[in-house]
Amino acid sequence: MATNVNTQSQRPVPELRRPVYFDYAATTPVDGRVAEKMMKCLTLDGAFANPASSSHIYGCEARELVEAARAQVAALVNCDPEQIIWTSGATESDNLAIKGVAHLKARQNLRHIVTAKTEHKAVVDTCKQLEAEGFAVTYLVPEQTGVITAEQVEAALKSNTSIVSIMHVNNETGAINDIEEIGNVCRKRGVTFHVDAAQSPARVPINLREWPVDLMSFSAHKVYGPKGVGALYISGTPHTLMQPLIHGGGHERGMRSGTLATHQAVGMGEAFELSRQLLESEHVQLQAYRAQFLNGLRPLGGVHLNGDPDCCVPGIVNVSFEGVEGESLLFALRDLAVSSGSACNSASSEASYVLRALGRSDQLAQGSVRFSFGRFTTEQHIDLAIELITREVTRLRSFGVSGV
Amino acid sequence: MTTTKYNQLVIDHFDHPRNAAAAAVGAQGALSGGFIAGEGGSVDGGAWIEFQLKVEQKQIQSACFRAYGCPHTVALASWLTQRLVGETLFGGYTLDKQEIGAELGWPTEKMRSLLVAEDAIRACAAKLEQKEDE
Repeated sequence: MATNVNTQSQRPVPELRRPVYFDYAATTPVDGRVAEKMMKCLTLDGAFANPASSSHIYGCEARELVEAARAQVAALVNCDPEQIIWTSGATESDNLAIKGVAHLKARQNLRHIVTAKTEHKAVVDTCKQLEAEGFAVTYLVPEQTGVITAEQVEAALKSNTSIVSIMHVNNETGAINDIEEIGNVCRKRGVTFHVDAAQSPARVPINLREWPVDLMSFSAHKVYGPKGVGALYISGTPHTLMQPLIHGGGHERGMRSGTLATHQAVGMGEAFELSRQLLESEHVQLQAYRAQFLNGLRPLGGVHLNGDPDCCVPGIVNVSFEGVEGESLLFALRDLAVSSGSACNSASSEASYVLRALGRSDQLAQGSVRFSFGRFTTEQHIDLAIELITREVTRLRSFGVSGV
Repeated sequence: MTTTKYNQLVIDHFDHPRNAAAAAVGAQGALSGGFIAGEGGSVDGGAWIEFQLKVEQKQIQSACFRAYGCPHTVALASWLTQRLVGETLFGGYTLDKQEIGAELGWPTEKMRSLLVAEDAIRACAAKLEQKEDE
């Protein structure tokens, strides 16, 4: 039979060589300045040695670079370098913090954990694992704004609560939780407080010298550093707070054994250092992009911003489009590299629980897209996104359901 | 580019739908002379299709569609508006799933959308019977 295949270009914007990247919340490209420093830690003429080899100059050089990088990470989040330990990423940091505290405190019969449904899978699934081991877990549901409040946390605390784990910046909606207030509640009750801050360092200031936080997880690859390296901030004496997950040579104050990856640590340090220098100017820039983007979409109508505009980071914009289905929208926008509204969950049937918690209908939850902007986004990129979104949403609506 | 999920024909029909009806003219009262309309599925369920068919002596003369759903659903509705012409419309009308599987590279996890399209055609058949009874 005649299938009448149209031979027109299969690219919505044919002049583009590759789609425009709007997924900085998923990961960021490594900054060229970071990559350059990393490459000097790999080969014979560089700092290739084991940082633990204190008996020769090669090892000492590597050690110095690792410690300088640790200081760079500490400088951005305002803590002492000794309070930072290297891990393989925020997922490991989250696992180490939550399991490490839960397992140690279980000896004192403290077997209850408080977290939220809106946490990253690295926290939610870690808590589910602990549930399977017999721990009790309370999963808080956010307010309509997407935020978890100190009051909610306080109400959930029990006499046997060992740890509270609440994220700083939500990866799906960009919502910012008030870490100081939640921390104060935990301090008052003597409960350990862990914060997943994977999304924070390139977006909002962090002040661990002032904040009542015991443990905070960081990632390098959300901050223009390499994948495969992260850090955990530990406020006090590690051994009285938690147990390690990985045993071995007793590296990182006994909390994370394994030969340090010099190039990775150096990359994360440099990335955090750049972020410290650029944080303010980038914040202003991202706010401008956000305003340009939302203003540009306004004439389209039926566009819903998911999350509280007054309490979220500017670089993450999660929007739903009336009358447009999510998978079709993502495909129609395939010249924009974006994520469906709930990126990490796009394969699961629970895809939209964050958006449902925000009070969105099934249709709007299905039709949500997360745009995230960053260091290499330009005004032209935003204009192109507005143009393409307007064209495609209008097109999909033109033969869709009326009045949805 | 994530185009591997969709075959060329699906992409083509999604990007350039054939016989797409205007959303605003979908209300059945607004159907032009001789057309009957029937729908299947639901928006909250993630897939909805409406066919508007012109039928003479039970034979489909022309077809247009409205659709809400994934690219496969939209492409299927568009493709069917061509495929259905010449077909005989009756209550138990069944889609040729093998043919659709071969032509549109239909993924098994989207079988439900085929039933949505089938429901929409059957709804048209019911309308036709109703009309003939009047």
